Amino acid sequence: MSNGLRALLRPRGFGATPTSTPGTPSNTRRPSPPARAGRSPTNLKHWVGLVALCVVKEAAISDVEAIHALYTAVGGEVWRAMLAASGGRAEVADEATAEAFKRLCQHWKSVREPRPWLYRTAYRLVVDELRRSRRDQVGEIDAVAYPPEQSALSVEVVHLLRQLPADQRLVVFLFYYADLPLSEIAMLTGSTAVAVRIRLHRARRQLRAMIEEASRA
Amino acid sequence: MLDLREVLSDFDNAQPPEELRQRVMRDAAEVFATGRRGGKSTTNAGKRPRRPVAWAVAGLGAALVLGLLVIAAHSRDAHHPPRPAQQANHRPRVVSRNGVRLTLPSGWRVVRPASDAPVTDPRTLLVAGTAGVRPQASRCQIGGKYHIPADGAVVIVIGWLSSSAGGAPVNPGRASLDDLTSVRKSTFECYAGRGAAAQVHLHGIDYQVNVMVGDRASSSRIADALRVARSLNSTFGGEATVLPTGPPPLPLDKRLRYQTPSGFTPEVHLSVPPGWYGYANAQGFSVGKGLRAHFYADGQIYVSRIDQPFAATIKAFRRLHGLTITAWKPASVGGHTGLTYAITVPGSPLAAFGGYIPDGNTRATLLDFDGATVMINVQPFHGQAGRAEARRVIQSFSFPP
Repeated sequence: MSNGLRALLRPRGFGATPTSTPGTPSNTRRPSPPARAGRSPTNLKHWVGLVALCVVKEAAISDVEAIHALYTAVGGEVWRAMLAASGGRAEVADEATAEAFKRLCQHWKSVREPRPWLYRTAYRLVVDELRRSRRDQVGEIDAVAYPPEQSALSVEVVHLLRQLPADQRLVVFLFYYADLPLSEIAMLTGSTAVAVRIRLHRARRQLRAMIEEASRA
Repeated sequence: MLDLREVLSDFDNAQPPEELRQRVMRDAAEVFATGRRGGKSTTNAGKRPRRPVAWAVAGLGAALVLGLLVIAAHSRDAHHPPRPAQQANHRPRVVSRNGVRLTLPSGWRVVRPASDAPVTDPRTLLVAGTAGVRPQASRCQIGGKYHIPADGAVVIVIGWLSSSAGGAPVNPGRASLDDLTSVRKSTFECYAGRGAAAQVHLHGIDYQVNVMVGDRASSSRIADALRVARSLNSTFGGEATVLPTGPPPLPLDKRLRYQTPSGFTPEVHLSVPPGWYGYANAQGFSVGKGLRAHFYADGQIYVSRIDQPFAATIKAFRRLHGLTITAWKPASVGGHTGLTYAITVPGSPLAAFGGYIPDGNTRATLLDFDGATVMINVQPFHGQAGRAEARRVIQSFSFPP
């Protein structure tokens, strides 16, 4: 089994064994989030899928198959995170995710932890693209060139995300949607738990101010 | 009070497109096939830390190589001609996609085309550029937009597949490509830098080739880009003949280019050596060497379409009972990537994906066709010559857009 897949199979966030309760991170100080109606525990599904994959492919897994397995396991979550970080721009999320996977293939033998590697690489690509867009186009790039109506998300969510800078969008998504603990968000974003907490705090403050302003208007 | 969890549950409905999965798998097959690995990483995230000993050894090695290079540079005559091996590295290479081909100098590569959506005609057929050229999201109607490094260049070929290019009629032939001798500013709507363009009409299709160069591109870079654009040609060498209906297989003419019957998608064009037979029907087509008792005397190549995405087909293929995969490797046929499996099917013949795999060893190549899969099943050819001919036949496959 390849190093990448073995690393992928390490438990993530919700304890040391796959029998831990899904959605209740063992190393976080915040209370467990309430169960959301209609949403399955994606972390557990992720884990079960990977274990099954490991058992099936234990004999001899090739590089391309490992990438396929990796994409099946984490491609969706990376793409959604990049969709959030880009403020709902699906084409940027597509490009960043695809390019991150391609670079992962190119550095496959030397990457020890593919999941954080993918997150960080894709996030940097998103930031580069947003910076480039801002440089190339004059005016309010998000509002004019990429209207929220064209996004894969609802107008309200896109509007909300675009009130925040990219780094705050990412941590808000990972904390509130992906239910990841601060320590894991820090690991995925190449930051520290304290920095993640500060970003979350600033994001909440920014959103609160936005809502108050809207209610005054 | 704003419930962020509730608001963000909108992401439940956001799914990555199937094209993204296909692209990731295509890239992976390409990277692992060409062995393009170990380049400079853009990030150190998750990378294995190097040990001090490894650093020391690497440093010593680098110093030794550098020293040898300096000595070699001083000892050589400055006008000494390059060695054959060095010349070989700079040999131009021909790339073809979607029925067109370009000749690329060293340092140039095929670039993924920018999305044409929602425009369906014309379509971007082939893009080649220097390092750093990449597609960008844009609202450009024709040809898309590309990020071009300041010293880089890109050549984009677009084709009007079901209509003709606007404006004056385009003269048949490649003569207008000779006008591509210089670049000037504001040639294109979506690119403010220098560029050049020409239109050609080849084998019934109007093509336009666009050249765009970066702001600080050298004169040799510009000359290279114009040369690449002038090398544009169609890969179709004339009208193709439709494969005969069968079975049984009928003799084929080695001088003709054959194509699959109308309605068979994807359309395949191919050539065969002398002594080959073939036929086509609604399920696919087959060509093979020799004929004995209404069937091929030697091996055959059977091509069929599977109306399932590539990833799903691969998964299903690997789970087929009675079929043992002994080896596999990434493959590329006519510009489409996929996987080639060496398989053994012991016992009775097995009908797989509508095809027929006989007892013994055989080889199946599954190619990714954006939502569908094409299976090329090569049943054993006896002897070196037969196998070489089969390889040449598969290399002759092209899939017109």
